[in-house]
Formats: sequence, C-alpha cells, structure tokens
Amino acid sequence: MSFTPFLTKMVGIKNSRDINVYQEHGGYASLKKTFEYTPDEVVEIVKASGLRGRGGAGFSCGMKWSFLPKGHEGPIYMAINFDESEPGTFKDRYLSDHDPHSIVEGVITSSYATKVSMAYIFIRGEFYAQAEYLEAAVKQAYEAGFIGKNILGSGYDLDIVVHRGAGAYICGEETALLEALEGKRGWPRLKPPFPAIEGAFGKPTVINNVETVCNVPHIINNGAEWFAAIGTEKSTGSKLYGISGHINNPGVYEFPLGITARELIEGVGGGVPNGKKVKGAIPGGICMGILTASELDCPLDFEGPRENSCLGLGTAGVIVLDEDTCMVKALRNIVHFLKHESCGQCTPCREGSGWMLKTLDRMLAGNGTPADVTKLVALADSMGSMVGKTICGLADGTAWAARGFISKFRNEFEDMVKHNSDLKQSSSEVLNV
Amino acid sequence: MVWQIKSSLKSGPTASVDGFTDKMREVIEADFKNYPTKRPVILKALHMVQDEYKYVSDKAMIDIAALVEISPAEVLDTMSFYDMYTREKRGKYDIGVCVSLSCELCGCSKVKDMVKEIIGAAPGETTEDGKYSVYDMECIGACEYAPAVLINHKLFKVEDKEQLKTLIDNV
Repeated sequence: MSFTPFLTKMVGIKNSRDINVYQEHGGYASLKKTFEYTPDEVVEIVKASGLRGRGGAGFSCGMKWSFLPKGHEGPIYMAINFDESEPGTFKDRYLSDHDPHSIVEGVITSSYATKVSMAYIFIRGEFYAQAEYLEAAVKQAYEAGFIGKNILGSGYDLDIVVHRGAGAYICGEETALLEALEGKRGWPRLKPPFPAIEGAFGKPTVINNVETVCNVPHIINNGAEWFAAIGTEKSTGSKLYGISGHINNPGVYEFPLGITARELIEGVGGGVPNGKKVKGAIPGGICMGILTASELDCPLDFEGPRENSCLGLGTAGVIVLDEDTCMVKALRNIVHFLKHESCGQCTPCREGSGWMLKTLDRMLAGNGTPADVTKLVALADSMGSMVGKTICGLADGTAWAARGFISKFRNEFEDMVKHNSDLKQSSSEVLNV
Repeated sequence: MVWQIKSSLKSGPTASVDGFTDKMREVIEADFKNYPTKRPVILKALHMVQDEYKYVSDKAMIDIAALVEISPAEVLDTMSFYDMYTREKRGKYDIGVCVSLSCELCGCSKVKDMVKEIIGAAPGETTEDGKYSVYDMECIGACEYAPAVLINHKLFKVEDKEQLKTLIDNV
C-alpha cells in the first residue's frame, strides 16, 4: 500500500509558515468538520483510529482523553508538551520550523474534543526561533477567527498561550511540566492524583505531545479507518522518525509505523559514514536501551523494541553508533546527561546516577575494577520506580540504559577493567549495595 | 536554608542594581490575563531580565516577587532550578555547544577545541572583552545538525573551523 506523508506535507513549500499558504494546502479545513461532531464523538473517533501518544509512552490518546471527569464544571486545561529535550529527538522542532500551523490546528481540534477552554503550548526555552514561529502562527489564527470566542460560529471558545520553559529536561515529564507552567521549579509530582483529575492550577488537564495532536485534524478529515489502516495493527498511523549520530543523512522522515531500524538506516538514512558497520542503534531516546547489529530487523513500532529488550519505541529518534564507538563512553554520555537533568527530589535517582557516573569515569580513566561492572548493574537494580522508589521515571530510564548497554556489550566494560584486580582499593567497595 | 537566602538577597551586592524596569513591567502585566494565578509569568519575567543584563540580580528577583505577590525566596527557588537563568554575568553573546550523545558521536569535543582556538574561551568561560560566553549544553533538539551549536539564539551545524569562525564573527 503506498503511503503519502501527511504530517510533513508542508515541508519544502515556500512560506509554509504563513497561514494563507497553509490554508491553500488544506490547512484548517478540519475545524468546520470537527465542530459538526460533539466533543465526545471526536474522542470516540480518535479512540477508534488507534492513535497512541507520540511523546514516548505510546499510551492510547483517545483513552487518555476519556479519563477526564464527566460533567466537570470547568475550566479544563490543555498543556501541549513541546519540551523536546531527549537526546536524539528533534521531530517537534522540525515540525514547528516548517509547519507551526499544523500544531495550532491540532491543538484546536484536540481542545474541542476534550472541552478545554485554555490551551498552553509549553515550549522549551532554548527553542527561541520556534517559540516565535508558534506565537506568530497563534496570532494569525486568532486574526482569522480560528481561536477565540465562538470559533466559526460553533459556540466553542478557546484561548491558546505559548509558555516558554527555561532549560530543564525534566519539564518534559508531564507533572514537572505542570509545575513549570505554574511558575515553579520543575519537580515532578506524585501520582495519583493524575493530571486528568488535578493538573494545572488544580484543574483537570490534558497533556499531549506536539506530534500526537498534529494527527487529529488528519483523522477528522480522512476518518478513523483511514488512519488505522496505516502502520501495524497495534501501532496505527505514521511516525516522524528521527535519525542521527553516525549516519549519512541525519534528519526527520515520516513513515508508517513498523519500518525496521535496518530499513531506516540503510534507506533514507543513507548508511553509516566511511563505509563502517553499525555496532548499535538506540531506537528512540537514550533511556530506551540499545539494539545490537543483529537486532536491526526490529520493527520500530510500539511493540518491536520491547521484544528486543528495550523499554519501548520512545520518541523514535534513532541514534546510530558505528563499529568504532566505545560503548562505555556512550553509556557515560547518557548517564552524565541524566545525572545533570535529575531534579534531585528522590535519593535513588539523585545519588544513583551520580554514583554511576563516578564509577564510569573511574573506569574510563583506567582505575576501574571488575567489581565496578557488577556494582553498575546492582546500582541499576536499586534505582527507579519499577521497584517503587521514585516519583517519576527518570531513574528507571537511567537504570534501563545502563542495564541495556552492559548486558549487550558486557565485554567492552569488562575489557576496560580487566587489568585491575578486585583487590585494588576503589570507592565502589564503600557502596554496600 | 531559606532563612539565610532571604536575608542575603536584600543585602547582597546586586540588591540595588539591574532591576525589573517599568518597560518590562508593562509587558509582563499584559500576560496576567493568560493565567488564573500570577506566578506563571515569572519564567518570562526572568527571561527578560537574563536577556537584558545577562544575569539575574537580587534586585530583579525582589522586584519580580513584589509584582507577582510572592516572596523573593520563592523567586530564587524557581530561578535557581533552571539552566537558562544565571547568577553570574554572562557575555553579550552565548555560544552553547551541545555535548549529548549524537553530538558527541559527531565530534563535539573538536568543536570545543575550535571555539577555544577562535575566541580563547573554553566551556564555562567568558572572553576578556565580555563579548562571548561558552558553555556545554545538553541536547538542544537539533541532532540532525550534529555537532550542533546554539549561537545567540540560533541553531547551527558545525562543518569546519572556518565556517564556525564566520558564524561567531557574524553573530
């Protein structure tokens, strides 16, 4: 079945960020159609389409929307997660560079379905230009009457505000995002209560990723069956795949869900530079784990990576590591990132990531011992909410990344320390894990 | 130790300089209608201060606290969490070098060396004339440009030293 990209259809068109150009290519046509349905009917259509969240967790979008309390007096808020800070992920930024109106249209249709009166687009602070593009698009949409009071005579009122973050990866975690939206430090909250019940400013709040809401106008325009026929049975629709690292053609490419890592790397990716081979490929976001060269035929849908001992598809931002990459250094880069970005609330995350980093640094400096490798795995096992110990999943991510790299490339870790015996005094002895 | 911070904010060296101006106040007051409480605007207010003075002074935090009707310590609490607000003065133009995985794989340490050769400052340093500050950044969401840099609010891919020098000179 041939596939025509729809999320990226404005890429390459001159002045694609302008509302007139956007409308010439069918933009905002979904609004009129959306208002012909009741909000609950739109939720059912999105449920039937099988749309799953594109922010990393892959939860059913329609089902998440149905968690909102029924008959709530209001207000209900929407927070669009544009915090995009996961290494290897740049699809949302790409979308806003080329097509910010598709984001606005997605927000309007999704807000209508969830009876939202105020939608905040939370964009990370470092995306200066992208915040400007979004604000310009929102302004144009207000002027055209697509946002505001009684949109297109439907009786539906909506306001959209762009809220800039200030440099914190953890604000991509939904409850930390709410804290940052409220003008506080980005400390994740304990759940329950869930945002659908008590979110922004204590009110029911829907939180969706940028790419997720961008699908909704297309589902309205073409129908749930059309969407469900793309991709695989459990992972419907198309995905914005990112590919970067040791690759000839880094970029964002839209494909139906289910393309394999090998097809992506050797196809549009153009293969690894200098004719080298792939040693590993991270499917989507550094916490997910890593696929070895022999696992590259893994389909990149929400199920495939799980069957290859990865946490999941994540954001589908593939990072390619070639045959000359030192996996200990690669893990060190990942742990350094997560340690820096840990909010610090929970001891296992704050201390565990710091210990892991020190241990890896000691190993890379030539002072590690074989016991250090065992300790790294033990540390990973003691972190994270899988064992019920932390408020959010960052510790799980760190743990999973460490487990994945060490289990699949253990020889590299052991080679790095084999010249030192366990008798050599090292602070890992003090760990008592 | 919040009690210690409260007393030092009002008696510190920057307690009376580089505050929140009336012009800034006008812009921020227009945003109050966007939120059910006043506090959300402080992120934008702090951005305005950081962009204007290249750091956040004690006075700015005291002024913002008064505007938003919270305590200065609460403004400090928020401000100290985020990477984009600094207590130390930065150079006029920021040069952020991404050091996350894709950029490290594509040679970010070479980029840092090149920056040092071009302007004489390494990450964490500001040039003597105060024009540029260099610092490490975590993933800036531009992995297709790896090794990526954020120079004066714009994202670029670094090709070679010549091109990087041109980017820095034409900031």
